[in-house]
Amino acid sequence: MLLAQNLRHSYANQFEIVLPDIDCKNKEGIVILGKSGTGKSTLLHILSGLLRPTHGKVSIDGTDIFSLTEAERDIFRKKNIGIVLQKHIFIESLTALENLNFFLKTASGFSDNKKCLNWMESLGLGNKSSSLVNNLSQGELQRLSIIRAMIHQPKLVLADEPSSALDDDNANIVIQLLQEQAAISSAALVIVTHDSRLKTMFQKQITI
Amino acid sequence: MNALTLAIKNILYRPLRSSFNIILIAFSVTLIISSILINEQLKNHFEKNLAKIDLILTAKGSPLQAILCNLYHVDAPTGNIPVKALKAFLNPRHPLIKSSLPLSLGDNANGFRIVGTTIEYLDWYNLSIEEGKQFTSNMDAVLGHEVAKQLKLKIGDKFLSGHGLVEEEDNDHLHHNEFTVVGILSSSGQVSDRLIYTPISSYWLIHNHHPNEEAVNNEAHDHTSESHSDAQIVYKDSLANVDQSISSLLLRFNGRNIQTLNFGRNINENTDLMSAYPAIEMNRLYEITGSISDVLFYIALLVTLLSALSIFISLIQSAHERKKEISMMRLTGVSRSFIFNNILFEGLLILLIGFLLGIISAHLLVELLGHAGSLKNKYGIHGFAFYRSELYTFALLLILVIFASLYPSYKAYKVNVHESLQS
Repeated sequence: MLLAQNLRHSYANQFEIVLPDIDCKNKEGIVILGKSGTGKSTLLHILSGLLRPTHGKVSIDGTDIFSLTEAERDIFRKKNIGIVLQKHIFIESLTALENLNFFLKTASGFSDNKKCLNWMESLGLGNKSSSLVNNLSQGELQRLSIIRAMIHQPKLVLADEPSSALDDDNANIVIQLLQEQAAISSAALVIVTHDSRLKTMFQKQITI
Repeated sequence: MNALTLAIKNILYRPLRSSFNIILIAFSVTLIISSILINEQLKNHFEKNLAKIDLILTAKGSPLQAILCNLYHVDAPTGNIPVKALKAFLNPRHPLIKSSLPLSLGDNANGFRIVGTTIEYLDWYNLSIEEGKQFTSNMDAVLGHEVAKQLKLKIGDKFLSGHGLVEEEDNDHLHHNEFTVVGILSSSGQVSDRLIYTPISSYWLIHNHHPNEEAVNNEAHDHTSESHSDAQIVYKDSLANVDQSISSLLLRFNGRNIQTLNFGRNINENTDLMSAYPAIEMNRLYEITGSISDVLFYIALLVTLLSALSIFISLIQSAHERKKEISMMRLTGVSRSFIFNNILFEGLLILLIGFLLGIISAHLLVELLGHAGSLKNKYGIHGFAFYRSELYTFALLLILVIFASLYPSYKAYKVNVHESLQS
């Protein structure tokens, strides 16, 4: 599913970061652990195709994503990748439901109110559908982020520090949620984090 | 949800900023459109009432005043001239003059000016009688369309006139001769809608308490006003023989040439009369009013540029504030062109709403001004006229706003997702 080989990246005038090789199969979860500044976000942005590495190759479901043009990569990303970031960024002027619908339509080409509501219902956000995202709590936003990353059934889910701001209980809930939903969608799950609590939750681990 | 709906949501989400920009646009549009409305209608008004009059003859005074008073009925007459002095110009065989129209002015009825003239005024101003008939006796009155409507006068009604050009409370100035309405004109959109026409001899009747015997006709009559009312009126061909005064004589030439130009100059230099060319005097007036409306136009332009600048700044700000949001959208696969259109549409929507508000308020404002400042009465200025220049204004604003929106849109389009998500 996800194959990353010989990745290296250097920002202008800075030393080169050497990134680990990754091989992650369908329904498989993998956690990439590393301290701040070791290039975790860089790796995540490379895996999602946002940032072109100075060296190396990323292939998702058999597609070498950096052989695509930028526009093709945008389309590839929206169809095949779901992303959960540490900060939960939504379109401020839209309600929670409108946000989900917007991203669902972007990813799959059509909006589906019922599908969005079902997802929100199942993650305990049923009564928040018409709230503006600014009126949602961090926990609610986190769940909304997870729905956004999963609702179009991507092949790969990338998560950036999904648990680091949470206490033990909530961290467990969120990680389990990600694992469950990834399993339901038969997606590969890649979590990039410095949160060592996750070590026990994934069999496959890479430390950078 | 498309880029347009999202733009609407964004406008609604920041109501204060959006309404400030909308108000700015509306304000500049109001300035531009109302000055267009006033200018165009004023020009239209002046041109319409020119009635192909080449020259007017009056008592000595200000030529512009003479034109304004005798053609547009907005200023006071320059004085009276004896018909004797005009005898040569009343000759139908005059080599230069094609036709002439005498006017006597100075009285009003409830604020509407009374014009003493001969029956040719109908042809000169292309007027037609809607109801009743042309005047045939002294103290007969043919009312302009507006006059009949506003004073609620019908055929056969009688009214009194007053001396002066405006309505006065003081009844002492009322004349004792009663006018009788014999005709009402169809609406022409000219000043004549607001004038009362009467035979020129009515004026002499009202003002000369001891009129000359030969003034009106050769019949013997006493000096009471009643008998004068029935007296026969003066027609053009008999005017030359009358020993009376009139306010002015309007002239049409057979053609315009060097002779007609010298004609006016000769009169000014060699007689007690004054000649004034309407075309020349009006151009002089346009030069004065033109520079005033130029200043207005530049102010309006400045405000317009300011509102475009404000839109520019707001959109830049909006794009900056939404940087993370836009990055997130890009991250989840929203295309660059969607982002670009989203910002552009926001600018265009503000323009559109502001422009509509501006158009409405400009027309209402001019309509109100027309009533309050009696611009409607004097110059026919009202709010419910539409001009092509309003479309040009829209085009101008559209170009400005597109330019103001392009850079912010481009900035959002080019947002570096990787960098802005890391910060």
